This record gives sequence, C-alpha cells and structure tokens, in this order.
Amino acid sequence: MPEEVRFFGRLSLFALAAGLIYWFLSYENAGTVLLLGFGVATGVAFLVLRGGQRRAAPHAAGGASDGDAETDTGPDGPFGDESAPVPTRSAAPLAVGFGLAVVVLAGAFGPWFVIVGAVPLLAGAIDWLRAANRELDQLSAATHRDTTDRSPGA
Amino acid sequence: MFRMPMFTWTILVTAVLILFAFPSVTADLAMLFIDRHFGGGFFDPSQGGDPVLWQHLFWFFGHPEVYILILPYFGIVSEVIPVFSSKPLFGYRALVFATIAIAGLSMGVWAHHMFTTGEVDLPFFSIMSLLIAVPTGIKIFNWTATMWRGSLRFTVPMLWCLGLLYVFTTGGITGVMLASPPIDFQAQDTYFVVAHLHNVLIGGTMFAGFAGVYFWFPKMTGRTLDERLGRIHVAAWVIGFALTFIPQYILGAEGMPRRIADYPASTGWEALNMVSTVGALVLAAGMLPFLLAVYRALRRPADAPSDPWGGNSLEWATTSPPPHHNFDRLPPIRSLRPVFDARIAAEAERREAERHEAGGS
Repeated sequence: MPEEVRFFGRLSLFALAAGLIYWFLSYENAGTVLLLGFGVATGVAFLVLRGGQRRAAPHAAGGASDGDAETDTGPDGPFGDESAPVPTRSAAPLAVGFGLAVVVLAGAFGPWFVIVGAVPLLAGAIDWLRAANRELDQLSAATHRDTTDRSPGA
Repeated sequence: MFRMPMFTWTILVTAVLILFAFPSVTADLAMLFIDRHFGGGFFDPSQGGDPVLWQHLFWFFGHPEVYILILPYFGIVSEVIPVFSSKPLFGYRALVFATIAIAGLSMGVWAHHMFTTGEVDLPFFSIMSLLIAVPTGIKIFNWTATMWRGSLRFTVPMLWCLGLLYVFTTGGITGVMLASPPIDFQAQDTYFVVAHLHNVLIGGTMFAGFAGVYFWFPKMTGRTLDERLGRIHVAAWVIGFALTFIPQYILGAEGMPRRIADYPASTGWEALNMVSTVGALVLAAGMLPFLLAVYRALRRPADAPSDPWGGNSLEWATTSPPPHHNFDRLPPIRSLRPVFDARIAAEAERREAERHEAGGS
C-alpha cells in the first residue's frame, strides 16, 4: 500500500483514539466532536484511496510500479507521459480567483463588490476559456497531422 | 515515495493539513455570518449559543495553520543543509515520519490556546502539546546530525539555516513551557506569548524563506545574489531578532500584557521596550542589503551555471532558469540525490577515460 494511503489511515486511527480518550476524560462535546470528526474524515479519505488503488491494480499493465519500485525512469501516472501538453502561462486563473473573492465579499459588505469583482472574474474567465479552446484546437490539429503522417497511404 | 525530496514531502503533508483544517474556519465564518446578518444564535448565549464554540472552531483551524505555514519551510531547510554539509540528509525516513507525526498531532492540540477558558481538559491538551515537541525535536536533531562531521560551506543560504536553528529552537523551547497549563495561565495574553509566536512562526518562515530565496535565486533567474550583501542581511536579522524578541520574553515574564498602547512609568518597562524597538528597526534596515542585492543581480546578465551549489535534487540538472517543461527527458531517479548520483557517475567516467588515455599513451 503506498505511503500516501497509509498516511490517512494512521491519521484516522490517531484521531479516533484521541477522540475516545478525550471523551472519557472530559465529557466535553465540542472537542470530542472535532477530534472524532477529523478521525472519520481521514478514515473516509483512507477508504476511498484504498478502494481506488484496488480498482486500479488489475488494470496496471505488467505489474506497473506504484512509484516505490526500483525503476530507472520517472514516475508513472499523470507524470508518466512526458509528451503531454503543458498549458501556456497566463494570469487568467489569478484574475478569476481575485474576482471571485471580491464577489463573495459582497455578502458581507454590500452589492457593489459584485460589480467590482465581476470585471476581473469575467475578463479572466473569458481569457482562460479562449486560451483553453485555442490549445485544444492546436492539440487536435497536431494529433490529426500525426495520424495522417502515420496512415499507410501517406 | 521515499525518493521524494523533503521539500516535496512537506508540501504534500501541508496540502493534506489544508484539506482538514480549512473547512473548520469556513464553517466558523459561515456561522458568524449567519449570526450577524440573519439573526442566528450559534455564538450568542442569549439564544442558547456558546461563544467558546467560535474559539474551538477557529483554533481547530488556527493551530494546524501554524504548521501549514512552517512545514514547507522545514522542507527548504532539509534541502539546503545537506548541500552545504556535503552529506546526505541524516535520517531521511525519520524526518518524513516526523513531518507526518507533526501533521497528525497538530490537529489534536488546538485547545492549548483555550486553557484559560476553563472549558477544555487541561491534562489531555497539555500532554498532546508536549508530544508535538518530539517530532519537532527529531527535525532539529537530524539537521544538526547532517552537519556533524560534514564538509561545511558557510554560504548565505547555510547561514540563514543556522540562524533558523537558533531562532526556531528558542521559540520551540518556550512553546514547550507554554504547553504547561500553570505557566500558560501566567503568560496568557502577555508579551511572552508574542515573543514565542514570532520566534517560531516569523523566525521559522522568514529565516528558512530567505535561505530558499538565496539558494534558488540562481535557478529562478539565472543570476546569483551578492554574497557580501547577503551576509550583512543575515547578520542584521540574527542581531535584530535577538534585540526585538528577547526583551519581549522578559517583559512578558514580568507581566506586560500584549495589545496595549501605553503603560505606567512605574512598571520600569521603558528600557526593554526601547531595546525591542531598536531591534525591529535593525530588522527593517536588514532588508535594504537584500533589496540592493536583488536589484543589482537583476541588472546583470543571466550567467549562473545550471548547478552553482553542487545541489542534490532534480532542479539542478536543468539550466538556470529552467526551460519551459524543465526536462526533455526525466533524469533517472535512483536515490534521494539524483543529481549527486549523476555527478559522481560522470566523475567516475571521466577518471576511467583518463586512465585509459594514460594507459594507451
């Protein structure tokens, strides 16, 4: 089992044990609920990750490594394909995050914040979507070119 | 996983802590918002609410937040010290498990901020708070052991790490003192707590942060920061930190409360407060050499080599600054120090080639 999965299991056991001990020491509700809640949350994360790992195991080709095995190459999984495209640099995610934060502040400080926040939010979102579309078009064009080059008639 | 650099480990553990700590303060703020704008009564005793619940939910986030801030900086120190000690990191696995233990324990110690509310179990949270000193101590011990009998190079990043050991350990020891309820009751809301927090959090993050900036600046920009200006920067901060916060410990022990604008002359606190103020000015002045170093570095052409320090981790295998996508092919990672391994292999090949040449001639 990979260390990152065991990590959640250990946290869960620790927090559940601490929660139980705390309850019998103090009979104090808030602290007990927080400790046990942390234990349950990490336990759920552990079970989900372990389930995902078990489901993935039969599909792993030729007993592919989980990252701990001694391989000479880099890691498997999302970083295994070195030819994967990298998005171009952009300030759009920053603009969206900033805009969203300002819009949410409207709940506390008044509706003007929606107008102020909407400008960077919309500008960033439009820029981001356009860039993503452009990159997807370029990628599909490159894939199409690659397929055409490799076809028997080519 | 056990070939990941410590910095990457600490970022991973920090990310997990964020996942579990932030929902608590989000819920807390949502409840406060409902109380203030929609007449809710979560924290209002007249409606059956409990103001201490605010503290519980805030500190359930607030204490792990301290580790969310500091753990990545521990990772930086764990990267810098082995490079300038010319040794592998001592007890790598112990450091990984200490990081995980800190994460787990940090979620169970929040109520030591609430000892004086009278609504939490003092022995339980005192023991839990004292326990967290163990994995933290492992880190300090392992960094010191990494330097032990190493071939030390006192470059600016290394000097920042040494400064951190002094500043953070001082803060850590006073933290152990505050974990004891009898001392905490005396020191609650005094300058002692202010000094402790700044030693741990500001000392820990800023000293390690500057170590990281000086260490990775050549990689990020292709330009090296001036060593002489960097040394002045470190010296000013070590002296400034001592001048600012050691008097605050004494003031706190004498009972000076925090968050006050003035105090009676009869208390005799003026001299120590003046020393503390001078220390803060030294800290501020200490930033000038750093800003000058950055300005001068950025005006020079980018001529830093790929690996100016003899580094261990992967970033030193690519150019400074790295190209888009970092590597054409990912270098082999057979140990914790892939670039060190490659350097040793290249050196062995060069010697072999020289021996062949000498044998052939």
